[in-house]
Amino acid sequence: MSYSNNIIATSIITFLISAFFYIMPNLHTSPIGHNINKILKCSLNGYKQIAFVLTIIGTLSIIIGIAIRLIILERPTLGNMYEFSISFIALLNIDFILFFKKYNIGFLINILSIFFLTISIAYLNNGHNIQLTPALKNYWLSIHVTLAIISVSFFTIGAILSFLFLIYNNKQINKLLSSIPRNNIDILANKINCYIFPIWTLTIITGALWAENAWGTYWNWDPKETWSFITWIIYAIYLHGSIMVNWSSKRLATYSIIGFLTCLFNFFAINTIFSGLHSYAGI
Amino acid sequence: MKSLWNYLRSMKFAIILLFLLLLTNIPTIWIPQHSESSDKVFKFYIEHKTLANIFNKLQLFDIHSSIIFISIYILLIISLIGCLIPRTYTYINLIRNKSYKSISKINKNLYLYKNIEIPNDQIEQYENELKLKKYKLINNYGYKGILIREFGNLCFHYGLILTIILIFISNMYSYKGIFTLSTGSRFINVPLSYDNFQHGKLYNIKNIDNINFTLNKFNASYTKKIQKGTPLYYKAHITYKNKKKIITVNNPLKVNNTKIYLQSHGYGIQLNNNNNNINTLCIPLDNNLLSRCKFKISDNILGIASFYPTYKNYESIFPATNNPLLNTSFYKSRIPITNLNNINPMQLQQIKDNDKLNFMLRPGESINLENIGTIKFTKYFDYVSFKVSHDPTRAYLLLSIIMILIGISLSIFTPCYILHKEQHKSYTKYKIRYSKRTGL
Repeated sequence: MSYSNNIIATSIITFLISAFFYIMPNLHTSPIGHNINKILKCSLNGYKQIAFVLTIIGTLSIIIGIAIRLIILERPTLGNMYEFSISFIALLNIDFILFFKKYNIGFLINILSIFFLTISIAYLNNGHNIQLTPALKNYWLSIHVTLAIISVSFFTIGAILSFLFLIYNNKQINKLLSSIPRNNIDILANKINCYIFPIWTLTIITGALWAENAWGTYWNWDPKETWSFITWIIYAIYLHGSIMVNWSSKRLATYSIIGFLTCLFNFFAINTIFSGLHSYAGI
Repeated sequence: MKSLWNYLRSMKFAIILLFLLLLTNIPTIWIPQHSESSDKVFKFYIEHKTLANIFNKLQLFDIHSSIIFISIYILLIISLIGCLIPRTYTYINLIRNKSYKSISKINKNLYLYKNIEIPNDQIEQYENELKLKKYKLINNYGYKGILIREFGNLCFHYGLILTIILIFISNMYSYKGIFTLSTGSRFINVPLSYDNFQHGKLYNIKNIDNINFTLNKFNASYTKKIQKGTPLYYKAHITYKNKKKIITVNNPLKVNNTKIYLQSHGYGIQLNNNNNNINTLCIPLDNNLLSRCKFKISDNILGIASFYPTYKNYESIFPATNNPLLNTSFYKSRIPITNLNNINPMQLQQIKDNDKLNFMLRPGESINLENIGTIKFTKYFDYVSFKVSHDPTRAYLLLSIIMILIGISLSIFTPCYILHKEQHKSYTKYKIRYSKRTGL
């Protein structure tokens, strides 16, 4: 088990170096950047490529870590906050590597990965989260949680793109970042959020079906359910705003970020502070 | 009047309603809900009395069944239906008349259309250009695409309405209950057998399903090393219709539309006082099943005991019965005891025996007390708490779920980038539908 955790911990360092290489082109003009550039002698694109390779290595190490955990525990590694968190980061990076590598989100993805992995290893992994309670020992666990991770990881990328869009459209910041290309990221964010909405719907529905199977009620308005519903409503508003009413990209970007924040709240606050039927899925 | 109706079914109003629905949900973070835990509400009453009274009047403890929430719901349904009916009408007309020209009536505000005529010798170049812009070139598929998409849209929203109606019907015609059963005893499905029985207003109790089964045995297994005491499985072995079956946590007993779920388990004890058997079910207090038992010995003598499944230093260290021990004390009441759950501590006086207040008993052991006589701890047993849920709408709800899923998938994933491509002798006419933002 400690092997698995150590391998995952090393990925934090990989992501840190990767994040550094991602911002190197931006530091290029500053004196520090200039000095580093003298030593490394890399082209601007070269830095990005190094960073991308490092991201791939970091992701692979998380995947190996999860695989080891899976083999040792002989159960789906989706049963508690720690496992959810590392699987989420693995999938977020896989999404980035496979679909969004040409967009300038590598740095933010790295920072987010470092943040999540540090919290997971420092606070969520207490060595006691090995055994699953009987209610979780079911095929619904794999289905429901996998869908949740898929949708949250894509919502995260949507929110990151929206965040970048808002920054690019801010005139003051824009002067600083004039060198960055912006290939219609608002359209891309919009597409992601719209395409993932059905998957989030499916997540909630599978959750309801599982709840009926385990507790005898589809919907009990426990905190987790309520917040999933809130997230669903926010993205429903987003969908109507983008397809039916033609809201401005700025407004949509704000909603995308709010939606992502509700996901975060649902993960951190609801699991730790508020108890409910889902509370055993906590730390 | 007409303008009001138009406002009700406008998209703007629907979005405002969705917002309100969202806002009404947010107070559930701070305010405890009855649906979740009545104990927390009770605690809140003790801590903030005046605030609790105000909250109670505003129905903030039952947000999800409050007037505000339900009225938003109803308005949302009205708005949805008001929006859907004209769209369905247009849609049916479109399919009947096959007048594809009027297809732009659907979502007319959202998309822009343009006609482009391209000479035939430049088609290839133009289509490549479109592909670069991620338009999908499918002959005449655009029309079908937009029809399928609209079908999905309608299907999804009708599915939502159906779900809400079904939830309403289910509340009317369903029943729910909780009962406890000690090992060896038999359950008969009548309202009297339940500890807690709630049924819908239109449910006829005479039609209650004829279910009866015997609980033969209860098995639980717990981890012994890491995370000591975490349950591995719970198994309730029952005999239903002369067949042996096992109910586990994710595997309820299904009879028609009724399901019986294993909810929790605890220990009960049997005592013997002067050849009278006293059975009582104990309430688990912690994860290691340290349990509190109350029992009545005579009209004015009662006992309160802690049952430790695995005793060590006044604590239970494991949920299974490895070292069972009962720590009892006895009280004399000045007024006759009618209800064990409602005892006035002011009326109680603890009984001493040789200056001893507490008596430790292992199964089979007995003590002699002056006024009470012999008390023998005969045995302990498992009891199981089951939850029964009867819902006649289950199959239909599955239908509505399928409608929602198919609807939303069709409406979002169906490609329809190009509307029409007409080949003429010297040129090809493209009619392109595009949205400023997404191309969706």
